[in-house]
Amino acid sequence: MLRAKPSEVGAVGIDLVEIRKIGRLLSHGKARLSRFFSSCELEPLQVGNRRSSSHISYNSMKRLACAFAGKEAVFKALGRGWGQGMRWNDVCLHQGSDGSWSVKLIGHAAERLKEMGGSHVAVSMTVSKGHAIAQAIIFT
Amino acid sequence: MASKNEVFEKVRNCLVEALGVDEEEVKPEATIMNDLGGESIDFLDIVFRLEKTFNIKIPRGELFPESILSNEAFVKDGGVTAAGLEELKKKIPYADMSAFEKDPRIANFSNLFTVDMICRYVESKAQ
Repeated sequence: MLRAKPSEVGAVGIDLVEIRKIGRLLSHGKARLSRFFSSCELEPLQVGNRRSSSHISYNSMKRLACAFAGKEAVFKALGRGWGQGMRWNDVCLHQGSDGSWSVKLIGHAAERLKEMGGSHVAVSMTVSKGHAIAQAIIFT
Repeated sequence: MASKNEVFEKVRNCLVEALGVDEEEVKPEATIMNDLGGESIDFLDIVFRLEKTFNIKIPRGELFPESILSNEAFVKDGGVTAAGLEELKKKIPYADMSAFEKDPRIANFSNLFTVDMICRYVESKAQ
């Protein structure tokens, strides 16, 4: 019987975001947001033509809030922020059709993971009472 | 070039919109996080609003550099070292370091980010 080699937890990060605050961010338009969010995070959003949060679906706000919280959680687990050589887009969050989230690291974030001896990063999100909460765990 | 008062009023407006605070709360010495309740997501909103208001470009990490103190050489026993203080002066030259230098505990770091700091930053971009 095959047994998977147990992974060790290298580091943990957690973050919480108010979903309504994401509405304000969305009002700045996709062009500005694309400096901080990758295309895989922005494309699924249903952002209206007008720059008004009233045209943005709650689901879009919820999704981006999760992506934002996920990025922050990953940065915390990596022990670095986006001012320390890492770009926001170095961490890309993706939600699958089953609702689960995965994360892809590139650039300095990927280098940092390697530096830490990390093999992969797992993220988990939940939404409750107007807040998105994300946890990131680095496995060695 | 806008006067200091004009810059302050525009910065104040940006902060009122981004943070949902009253005008009266936005004083020059008010700290973005502790006094005005700003969080990391608010920093993005503030950056976007400042860019639109002042027609400037704010590169990532220039106004609100995060984790400057992740370097172990700059932090010791919960405080910023002399080398760390010098690094901070280079990274955020528009911040008033006088109070922080007297008590350079990491816990006080967020107090560097004040309304006044943002005004000085904006003024420096206009020069």
